[in-house]
Amino acid sequence: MTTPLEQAAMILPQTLREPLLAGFSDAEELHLRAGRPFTAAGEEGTERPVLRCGRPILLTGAELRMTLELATRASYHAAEHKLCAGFLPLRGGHRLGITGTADVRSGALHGYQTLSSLCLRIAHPIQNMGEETARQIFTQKTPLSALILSPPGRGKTTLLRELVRLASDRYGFRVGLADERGELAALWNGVPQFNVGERTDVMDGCPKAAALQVLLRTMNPQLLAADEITAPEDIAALSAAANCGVPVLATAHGSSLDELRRRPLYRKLLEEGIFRQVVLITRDQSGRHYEVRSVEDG
Amino acid sequence: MVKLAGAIFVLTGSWLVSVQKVAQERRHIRQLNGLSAGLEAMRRQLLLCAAPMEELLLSAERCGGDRISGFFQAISLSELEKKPFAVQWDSAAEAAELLLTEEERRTLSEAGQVLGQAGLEEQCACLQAAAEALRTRAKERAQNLAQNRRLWYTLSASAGLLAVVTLL
Repeated sequence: MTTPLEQAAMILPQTLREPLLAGFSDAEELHLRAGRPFTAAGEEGTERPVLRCGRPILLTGAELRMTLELATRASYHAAEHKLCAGFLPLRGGHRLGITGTADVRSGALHGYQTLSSLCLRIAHPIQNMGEETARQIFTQKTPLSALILSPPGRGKTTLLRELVRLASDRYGFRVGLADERGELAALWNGVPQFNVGERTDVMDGCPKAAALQVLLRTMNPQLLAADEITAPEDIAALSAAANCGVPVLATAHGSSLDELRRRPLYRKLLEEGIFRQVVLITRDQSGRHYEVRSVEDG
Repeated sequence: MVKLAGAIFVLTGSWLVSVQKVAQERRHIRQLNGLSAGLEAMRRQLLLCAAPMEELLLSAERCGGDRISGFFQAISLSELEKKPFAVQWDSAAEAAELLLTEEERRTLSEAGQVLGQAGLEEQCACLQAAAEALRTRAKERAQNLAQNRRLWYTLSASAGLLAVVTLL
């Protein structure tokens, strides 16, 4: 059985992979920077150098290019637009991000002239975290629309993925998933690298508004899901879905409903009555907590 | 009788040398055209759908004879870790025993340095340049062959005759 770290490390040249696997088992992020040491970070985020024969491994530009060649299977051109949009999804749901000397055209990032850093984020699938929330949202034959709300870094995307999986596998709903940034399902050759359920159709790499419309028209979803509502077009698409009678699961940055109501974009979202419920994610010393509230109750 | 047989043998031998030279030149031209067509097919696939390298190589394989197919088939992406793409590309050209001059080999090798590492536009431009260079070389060689074929036949026949006269 291959561990997530072993799977992710397959894109590294052997000279880097072996010392990494020998010295680290809990790495969640790998950092490769040209001319600097190869480091790995665990859950706490602190980077430690990967050692070979007791010494840090100083990386060269050639090793970074080799890593990118392995990650893209010598098809940088096919991965270029994804890398420019943020990161390259890899098999297993891992992600490779790059920075370097940018090639900017018409004010937009077009590509990279040289590589400076690579960051490999290792995916660790988390399951069975949203069961109680799912029980509250999917109580009826038709699920209720719900907005997952929390400040950044509290696990909105993870909770949404879990709710989609449960809606699909446990409650039997056909789910349409608009995965604009490839973070929810992480499609790799069309196959979701995260478990999003057997009845889930994924549309990735395209703006949410367009993806939601395609899913609505073509896949006859019983539930639609999208991550991070940020633009008026997203709200228009959610509104269209709601008008067609399809409930929606979505996420938004915010710490409370009151805060959301103060922001014009989200105020409109709430006024249109698309969402009946809000899932608030809070965190304290004992961990994350999920609280389902009715929008009317606040 | 022995002299006559010897004369025929020498004349046939010298004629065969020129035939072989012409056949080799034709093979060389076919290979250049095959390589050029293969690179052009890769470029078309790139422009069409930014296809990954596996698909680019597959489309190129269909464009030439056995040696050209062999060249593109010899590149194995599962071996990337042991041999980077550019190294595999050069090794494949060696292994396929292509009849290329140093200059033609360099043109092919330069394409291999860019493939898989650059963005879409750069790769398309590089493939186009390499395909055009090889096609131009093939045209030049075909023109040379048309002009010089008779000369080679005449020279080899003359050399054979001279050898026969000298020996007799």
